[in-house]
Amino acid sequence: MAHVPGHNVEQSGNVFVWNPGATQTTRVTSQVPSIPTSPEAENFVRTSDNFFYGLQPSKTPTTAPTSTGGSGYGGGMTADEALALAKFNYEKEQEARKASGLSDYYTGGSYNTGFDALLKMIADQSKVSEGAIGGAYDRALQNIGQGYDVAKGLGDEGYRALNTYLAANQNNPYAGITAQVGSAPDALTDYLSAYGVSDQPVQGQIQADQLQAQQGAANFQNLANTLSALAQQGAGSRAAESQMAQLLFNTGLGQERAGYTSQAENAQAQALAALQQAVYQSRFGVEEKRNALAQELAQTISQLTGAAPTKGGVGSGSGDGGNAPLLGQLVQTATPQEILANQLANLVAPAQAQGGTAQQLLDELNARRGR
Amino acid sequence: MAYNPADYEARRRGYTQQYGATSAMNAYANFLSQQRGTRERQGMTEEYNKAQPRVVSGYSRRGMVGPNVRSGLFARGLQDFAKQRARSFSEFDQGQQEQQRMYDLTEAQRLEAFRNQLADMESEKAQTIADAARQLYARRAGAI
Repeated sequence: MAHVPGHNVEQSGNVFVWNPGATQTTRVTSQVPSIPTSPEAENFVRTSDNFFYGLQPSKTPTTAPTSTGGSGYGGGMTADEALALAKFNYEKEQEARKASGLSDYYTGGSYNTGFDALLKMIADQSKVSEGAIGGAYDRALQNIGQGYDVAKGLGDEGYRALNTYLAANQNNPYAGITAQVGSAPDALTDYLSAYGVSDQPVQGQIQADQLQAQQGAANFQNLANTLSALAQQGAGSRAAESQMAQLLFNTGLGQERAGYTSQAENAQAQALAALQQAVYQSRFGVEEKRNALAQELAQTISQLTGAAPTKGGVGSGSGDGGNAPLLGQLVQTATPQEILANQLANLVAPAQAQGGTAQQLLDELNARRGR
Repeated sequence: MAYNPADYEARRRGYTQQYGATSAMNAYANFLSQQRGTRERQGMTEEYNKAQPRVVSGYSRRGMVGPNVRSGLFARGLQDFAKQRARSFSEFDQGQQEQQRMYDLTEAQRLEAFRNQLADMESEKAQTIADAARQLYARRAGAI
């Protein structure tokens, strides 16, 4: 059914707008008309048998409709055509309601609710995972620190026992060796003197033998002293080796602790990086689906209204108490009366396009209903 | 290497038993040697005590010694007897001394070796404990 502009009807996109004497500033800019919350308060009367929303005919039709529904109406519209028109307008109203609902769903940001909840879940899970990683790192550091203390205590105890043993068991068995010279043999002095014989030669020999024995004892003592010194040197070396081994143990243990700490830090960094990557991918997926839904909504609204809504509205509201339009929301400058007028104009526009007036159309319909 | 105290105790016991058994055997041998030396010295003393009168009687039969007779040969012979006796005892005593020193030296070396075994074992034990501590640390730190 073609619509012809004129008779205070203007075409805006796919919608014919009734604009009786309205200025440009008061003209409805929204392509999505909305139904007032209380139509009755706006003199908007709808009855079950009146599809023309309160346009009460001022006079009855001059020509009664025939039983066959044929011609005879002043406007030249048959009953079938009127019914089709009513159906068309009803469907158009439904589409307008659908467009209005979708617009509200889109501009009000309601479609973001599920995505925001998903993002919050992701953020919460990220915090939980981050905390778990931090907890694992703290436990690792605690184990590293406690393990170091335990290992150091164990190793030190082993070397302490060794040092105690070495100190208590100085290995120098030559220290007590003393080379002694035996007593001089009897020179038979008394016996020789009994016969008036001097013992001087005997004493001289004994002294020579004693001297030789003393030299032998001295040599042995030197040997014992040398062995004793070597034993002392060995004991000192062993004690030094023990201290060196303990120092090496503690140094190595400290290096291992540093290495383990570094490994824990690397593991934490890798885990956090993996977590960040996973969170990013999850958020990316949610945002991707959100964007796809927004595009789908915008396309649907555009198809219904003939104009693309302003893109935006991602996330929650504007926070101005709901007075200002949300980001991406269509600007609504028309009054409820103007909106109602536009809706009515859309209803009568087809009839006007066929040469009749809205009043004539209503008159005919009311006449058919016996009013 | 895992720390096994039973292994160290067994080794320590083995070292000690070996050293103790050898020491006891050597000490007994040394005791027997000293006892034998003492008997030999007593025999030497008896022999020289018996020989003394025979030396004088020999010179006496040849008229080299007697009342108012004191020959130079007798005096020299008696001095030689005394010198021989002194030399024999000196050599015997020195031999006994050297034998005792060798025993003492051998026992000191054996004791040193025994103590070194124990000290080596204690050092090894400390090192094993340290290695075990590091392995435990690695497990605690999750490196194993």
